[in-house]
Amino acid sequence: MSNTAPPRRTLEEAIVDTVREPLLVLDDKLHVVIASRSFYQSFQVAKHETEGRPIFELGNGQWNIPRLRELLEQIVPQHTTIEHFEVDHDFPAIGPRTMLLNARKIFYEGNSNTSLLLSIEDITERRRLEREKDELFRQKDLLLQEMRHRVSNSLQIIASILLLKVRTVQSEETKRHLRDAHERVMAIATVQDQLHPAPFGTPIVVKNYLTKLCDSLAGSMIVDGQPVTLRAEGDEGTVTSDHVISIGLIATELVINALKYAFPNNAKGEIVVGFQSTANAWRLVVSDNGIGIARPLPDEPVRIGLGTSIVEALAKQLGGRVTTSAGSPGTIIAVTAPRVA
Amino acid sequence: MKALRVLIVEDQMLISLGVEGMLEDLGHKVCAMATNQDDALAAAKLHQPDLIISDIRLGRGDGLAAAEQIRRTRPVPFIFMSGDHGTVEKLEGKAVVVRKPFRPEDLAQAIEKAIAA
Repeated sequence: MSNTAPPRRTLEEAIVDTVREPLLVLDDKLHVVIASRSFYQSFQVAKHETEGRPIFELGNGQWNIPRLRELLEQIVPQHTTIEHFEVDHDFPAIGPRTMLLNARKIFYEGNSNTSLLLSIEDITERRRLEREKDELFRQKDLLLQEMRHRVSNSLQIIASILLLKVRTVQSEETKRHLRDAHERVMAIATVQDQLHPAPFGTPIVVKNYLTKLCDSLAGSMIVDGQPVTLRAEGDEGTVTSDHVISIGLIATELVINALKYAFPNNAKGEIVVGFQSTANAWRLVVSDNGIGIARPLPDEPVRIGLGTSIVEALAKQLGGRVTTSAGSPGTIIAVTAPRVA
Repeated sequence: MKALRVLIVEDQMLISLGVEGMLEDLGHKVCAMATNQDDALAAAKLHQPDLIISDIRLGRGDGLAAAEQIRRTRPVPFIFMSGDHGTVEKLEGKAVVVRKPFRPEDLAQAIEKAIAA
C-alpha cells in the first residue's frame, strides 16, 4: 500500500496559493520560504528570484522598506501577532502602493524553529476612494457655505430694496405694506439662520425658532412706547425645515395682524405665539388679549387681507386648517396640521 | 450719539444703498461708498470717516484686510457685514459683526458697540 499523502512543503504551497491576498511565509531569519501566486502577480516578481532570499533583498531591495523592517525586526518578535500595520511604498515596477500588513508568528511542536506568515493587502484603491470621498465632502461643505452666503446676500438685497422704497413713498398705507413685506423676508432669514448649523433633513425645534422670530419681530414692529409684549412658548416639538419656514411665515402674518388691529389707541397688551406637538400633529396658536375680532354684519362684505390669504394658503399647503375663536379677552387663531413622516 | 460720517464698503450697491438708508434714519451720514479693497483704502484716506461699515468678502479684495491696512494709519471703528455664517461665528467676540440680512435695529446696536469699543 503506497503513501498517498502529499509532502508537507507541497501542501503548504497549495494552501498559500489559495489565499487571494499576497502572502509570504518567512523563516526565522526573514528569508522567503513560500510566496503565494497572488504575491507574484501583484508585485510582478518571479518565483526563482524570491524563494530562499531575504525579504529585504527581493526585487533589487524594493522590499527594504524602513516601516516593514521595523515591523519584522522589532515589533513581531515582541508581539507574535500584528494586524493592520499600514505601509506606503513606491515600487519601481508597480508604482506607489499603500499596504496593510498582518503578521503572525508560527511555532512548531518538537523544535524551536519558527515561521512568520505575512499577508499583504493592497489598499491603494481603497485609500484613493477615501481621499476622493473626503474631497467630495469638503466640496459639498464649501458649496453649501457658498449657497448660504448667496442666500443671505440676496435676502439683504431684497430687504434693502423694500426699505429704500419705504423711504420714497408718501402713502402711510403703502409704507405699512412695504414694512410688512420686509418682515416676511426677515422671517425667512431667521429660519435660514436657524437652519445654518443643522445638516439637511435634521428636525428643527420650533420653539427655539419662534423665540428668535418673536424677538426679531418685537424689535422691529413694536415701536418705542407701545405697551405691547410679544413672546413665544411651547414644547420641544420639531418639524422639518420646509415646514418650519411655513410656520414662521404664518406666525409672522398673525403677529403683524395682532399688532395692527388688537391694540388700538396705544392699548396695553400681550401677544403669545405657542407651539404644541404630538406624535401625529402640531398646533401653532397666536393669541392676544386685545379688543377681539368684530363680527361683520349679515349684509356686510367680508374683506380678506393679504395676511389672511397668506395664512390660509400656507395652512392648506401644510395640509392643515385655520380656526379663529374669541379669547377672554382677545382673539385666538390656531393652525393645526398633521405631522409628516 | 453724535451724527457720524460713515464709509460703506460693499460690492453690492443695492446693499450699500439700503445701509445708507438705515444710517440716515439713524441720523448719520454716508461720506463715501467703496466697492473694493483699494477703493476703500483711498476713500478712508480722503474722507477720514468716523466709522467704516464693510462687507468681509468683496468682489475684489477683503474687508478684513482693508480694515487692517486702514487701521495702520489711523484708528477707526469698524463694523463688518457678512452673509457667511462660518466667518461671522469666527469673528464674534473679536470684532463688531452683523450677520446678513440684518434689520436697522441690528445695525444701530452694532454702531453703539463699535463706537464704545
